[in-house]
Amino acid sequence: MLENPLLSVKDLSISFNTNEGKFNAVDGVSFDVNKGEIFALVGESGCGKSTTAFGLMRLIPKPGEISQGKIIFDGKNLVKLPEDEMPQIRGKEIGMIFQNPLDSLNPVYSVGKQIYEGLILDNIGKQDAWKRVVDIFNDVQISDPKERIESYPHELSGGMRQRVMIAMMLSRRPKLLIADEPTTALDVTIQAQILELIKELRDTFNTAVLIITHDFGVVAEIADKVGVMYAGKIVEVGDVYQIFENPLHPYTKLLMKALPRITKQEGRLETISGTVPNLVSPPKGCRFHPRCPMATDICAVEAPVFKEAEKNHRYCCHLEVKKRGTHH
Amino acid sequence: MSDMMEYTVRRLTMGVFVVLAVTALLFAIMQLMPGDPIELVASPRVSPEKIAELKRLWGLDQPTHVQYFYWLGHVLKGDFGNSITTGQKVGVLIGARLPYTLLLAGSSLLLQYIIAIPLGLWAAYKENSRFDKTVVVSSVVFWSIPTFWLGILLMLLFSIKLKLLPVSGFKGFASIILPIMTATLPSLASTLRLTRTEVLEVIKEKHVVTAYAKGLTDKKVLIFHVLRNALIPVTVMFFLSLPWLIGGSVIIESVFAWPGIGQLLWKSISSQDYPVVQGIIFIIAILTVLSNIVGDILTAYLDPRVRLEMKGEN
Repeated sequence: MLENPLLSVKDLSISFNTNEGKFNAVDGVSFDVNKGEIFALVGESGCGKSTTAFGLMRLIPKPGEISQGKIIFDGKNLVKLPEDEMPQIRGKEIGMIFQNPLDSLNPVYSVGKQIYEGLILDNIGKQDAWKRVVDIFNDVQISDPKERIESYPHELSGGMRQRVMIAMMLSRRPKLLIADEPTTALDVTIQAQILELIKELRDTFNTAVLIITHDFGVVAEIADKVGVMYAGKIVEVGDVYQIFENPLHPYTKLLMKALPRITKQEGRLETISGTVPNLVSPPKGCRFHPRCPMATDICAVEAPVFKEAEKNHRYCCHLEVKKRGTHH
Repeated sequence: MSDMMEYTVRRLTMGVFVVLAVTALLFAIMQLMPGDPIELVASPRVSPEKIAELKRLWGLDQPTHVQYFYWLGHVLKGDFGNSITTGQKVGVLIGARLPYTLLLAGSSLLLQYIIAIPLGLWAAYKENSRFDKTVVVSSVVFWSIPTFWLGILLMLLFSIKLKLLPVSGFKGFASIILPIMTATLPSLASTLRLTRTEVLEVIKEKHVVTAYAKGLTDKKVLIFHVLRNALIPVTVMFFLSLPWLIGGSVIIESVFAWPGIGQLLWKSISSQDYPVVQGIIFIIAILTVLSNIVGDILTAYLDPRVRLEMKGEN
């Protein structure tokens, strides 16, 4: 008997009412994240992946708001939770780290103090809290933790700052960590270290991770499951090996080709022509059809529905695909 | 903190030169003004010989730079000279007026910040609400009203029509209310606008999202993260406006016949009473330099990034 998933997002839509019109940045998105699982949400800029992440924390920037759907986290529907109960979820149950760790830390407080501030929300003593700050710095492999807790954000390197953010957001042992492009602003070598750290922490604390990225390299490095998003919708979801070995949606295939590889392909990196559509008036039918190399007449008329290719692997396209194994 | 010490010493040394430059410049300007104090004091029947003798007595026949260094030498010994019009010691004259100015300007400055900061914070937090719009519009109105006109209007309303408060002069506690209102309202408006703008800017910063993501409540985020950062420029403004305590009180003290430094300065300029004017400007210059330094040091204390820049300067 399978356990209920830790996080179950059901038909979630997040709409923005702007001067140019109302649009759904996130449009009927559904996915599950199990305990201790690393789920990657992948897509181009503007596809709604970050908005989804902020939606889970109920921290969507104005004028955005959740217009429909459910976010079932640990048995509670976060969409229906009163605003004044959200602080008990944030940090305590769900932590979140961001793309640029310098902007994300308050410049006027020492990094230790910023972690301490979260810890004392749990009614632990001052001394215990500071001891925990030092411990958690050890956990995220910051050397000289006793001195480092006194540092200000601008005195640390990018990788260190992201370690501090991770320390802050894991200090209260949340069940889920949301990482919004956690390595995008970092050097490649530091990227690998941070991803490695997130994986290790997941193994130690059994924290589920929802990682938001545009980079299939990151996905390959860390994810157990993948959801591919395009223009506010999930177009394909599956286990990481299913997505990499047998991508089914044309958009997923194109994204994979845009990934630099040293072994297989030499020469030019492929790009996907065109840009993400304007969501105020999205294309009719399948939203990807204007850019899709395999589009047929029906794609411009009718929106495709999800099909199950195999267990856990679903995609949303009119194309029929051969079952796996036939061309293996 | 030794960086800070070095910085302070350097700033103080520079400050000494600033004060010297300001007083020297003022000395020169006073000389350029038409007429001279002796002619204003003496009646037309006094003989030219007597006037020349008086000038010699006061040192007014000497070249400007000689007069300046004579003055400076005495100031360093703590002697600001005597008023030309009344003959009283300048130090005594200023000392008698200073408490009134500090009472009026000081309490209006405090009042201004105590009211402006919470209102500005709340207006920004409720951006575009009716409260915010009211606050913004009324601060534009109050900021645009000239002080003397506002003073006269308030006087008309509270003293003449309603007969609640004394018109002018210093006759006990009630007489301070109108001058304080007149001094506070316009600067309150500008401080409020500054606070509101700064809060709006900080509230959009990403570390505020982090603070929420950490699980902090609205109240804690607003006070410890938003306000804490937004108050840095507001604090600087506070210290930069300190010299204005004296300089800015000229108009209000004249309107309300308030027996403070501002009124003394105004009277002394009109009667070309050089020593008194010099003395007051000397105090304003020192106050300006000191409050700038204190403002900078406090900024460094409040913002660790500025501390880094200070080290960089050395």
